[in-house]
Amino acid sequence: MPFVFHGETREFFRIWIVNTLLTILTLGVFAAWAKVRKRRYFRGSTELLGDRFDYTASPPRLLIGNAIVVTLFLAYALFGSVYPVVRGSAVLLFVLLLPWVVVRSFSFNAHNTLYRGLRFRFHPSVSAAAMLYLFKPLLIVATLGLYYPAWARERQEFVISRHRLGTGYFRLELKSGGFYRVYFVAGGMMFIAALVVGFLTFALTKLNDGHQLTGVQLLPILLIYGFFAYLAKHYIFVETFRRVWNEARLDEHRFRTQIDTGRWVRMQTLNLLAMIVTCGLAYPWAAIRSTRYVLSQLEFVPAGPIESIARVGSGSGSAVGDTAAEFAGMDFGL
Amino acid sequence: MNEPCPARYYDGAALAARPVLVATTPDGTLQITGENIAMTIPLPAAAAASSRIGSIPRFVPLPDGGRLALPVDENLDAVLDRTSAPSRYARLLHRLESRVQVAAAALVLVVAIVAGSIWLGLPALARQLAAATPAELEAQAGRAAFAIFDRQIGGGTGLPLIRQRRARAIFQRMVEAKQLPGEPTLVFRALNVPNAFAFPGGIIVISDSLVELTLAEPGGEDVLAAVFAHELAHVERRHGLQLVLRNSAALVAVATITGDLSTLTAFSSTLPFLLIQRGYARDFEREADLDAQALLRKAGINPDAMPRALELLEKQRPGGDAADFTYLSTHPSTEDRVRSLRATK
Repeated sequence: MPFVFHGETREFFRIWIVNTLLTILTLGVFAAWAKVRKRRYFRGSTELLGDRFDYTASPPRLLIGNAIVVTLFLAYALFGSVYPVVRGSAVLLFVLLLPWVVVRSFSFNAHNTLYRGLRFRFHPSVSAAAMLYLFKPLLIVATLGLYYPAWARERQEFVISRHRLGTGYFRLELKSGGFYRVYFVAGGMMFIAALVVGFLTFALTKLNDGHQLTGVQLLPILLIYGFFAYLAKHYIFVETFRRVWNEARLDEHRFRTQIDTGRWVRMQTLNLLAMIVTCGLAYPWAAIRSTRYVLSQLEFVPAGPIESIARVGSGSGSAVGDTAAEFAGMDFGL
Repeated sequence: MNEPCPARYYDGAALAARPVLVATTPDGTLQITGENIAMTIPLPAAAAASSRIGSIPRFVPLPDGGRLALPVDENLDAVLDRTSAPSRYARLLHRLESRVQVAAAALVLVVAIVAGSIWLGLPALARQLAAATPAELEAQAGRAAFAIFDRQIGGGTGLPLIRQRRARAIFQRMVEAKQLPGEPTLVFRALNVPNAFAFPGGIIVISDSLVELTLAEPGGEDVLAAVFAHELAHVERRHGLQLVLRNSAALVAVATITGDLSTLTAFSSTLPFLLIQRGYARDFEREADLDAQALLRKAGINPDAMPRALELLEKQRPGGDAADFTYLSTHPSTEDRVRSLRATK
């Protein structure tokens, strides 16, 4: 049962350009509404088994989240320049709050997404998030990065396995081996990039009569390096996507994907070029195009009737639970 | 009663969907009919219906805990919108988002606003960065720029020592009156045309012909003083730095984000080219003119020497290719400047 994407560039460009103008004219306040409309459009254009997804987030809630982030950032910028101690403690605070922010964002977005009248849920656990986002990264540092692919796998499992749809539980169990292969290749790409960059730097320095290169001359080199990083990032994305969705489950139902790495990386490269050439105006085209491809490569494989998945709780009791979940969530626009 | 419209009904109890027909009645209700379903809902109860966006379905939460997914249907939309108060802005937004003309206008506006902000914002950022540049870095940049300039024109002056001494004396007088933090230096060079340049950090170059031209006239010492005062103003206000920054958005972007201006010296190699080919910007010239007049007054010289200097140079303006390199073509709109200088006296 394939996913079908009904989004159209023509339609979305109009929505996006009007929203962007309003965001500029309101000095960013409208951004919360723009984000919600974009998510509503994309989810509402996604169809599975004849039904579309709904997104019910309230923009003022997003605005609060945005306002908090902006205020904290301004305070950091203003006071940090005068009192260096503020800078350090702000970064520390941010790192400590990260698990909480991550959990809240997933909760918010899950709660506000519906399919066939049932809400998704993200089962929060700040302690699990803290373990994943605060303590495990220390392991990554301790192993000089060798632990990173395993951590990436754990993060995918964390995110997927804590999502629920009614009484249905999402599950994901993966082996680290695949991740190590993916990150090895990505690492190889960056190694080649480093070689190319190193060679270019050497050549340019020679041309510059041995003087140290200036910022302007370094710029194209940095751009090349950035491009390789972009390619590596998208390589990791598509390989991870394939592994995740070929193993992910909703109760006993499964998913299947045949997304092609080469096609995705080529598509994203073209998107990048288009964005640069049009100074960002090609964004709607790139977003619709990417989403259409991803969803066209994703299938839902039900093991039986999915009507067995029911709403959690019954009667008006669930309304209280729903409200509690709603207040528990917050999107920070990050 | 309107034509019934096919929709999807979710009872909200399980992950099931049923096709239904939805219609509105004149007495303000929503009628939902389907297999084993016959519901009548008063329209105000459907007030929480989501607003229309693009061509995606509209979702209506129902009192029984279920939900309805309504496709695009104008009649249904009109009825629902009439009964839901908060959707007035959403309706307007949807109308705006649906029209090609609005999208085209929005596109033009967005591009104009963004381009305009960069065009207006860059000089402001350039001024801020120039002000934040440490004096030693500025001097270093100026020395580098002057070295390139000197290499290009071929150093050396043909000015007789008497003239040089006279010019230096006038220069000293202006420097003492100005009281700049650094030590400006005066350099004479044999250029084809009368001109003067100020480099960041205080190196001021004046062409032999400009010195000869001014000192040849009666009262020329005051006119030369005005020229020096003008160039010293460029130095004090760091116009050279601002010019470099205005012309290299890349440097400004990097410096604003990272706070690192150390590549300024490399960028200042563009300064001689900018000065010779294009000169300072209009606003810089205006500032320098006014500053020069104030300095002349302070030194006890008639501030009219400034507009007189401009007029003198205007008179001497040669024709042909050399005109592009005169003091005036690199310091444009002489008439305006003369007029406004005389007016502010």
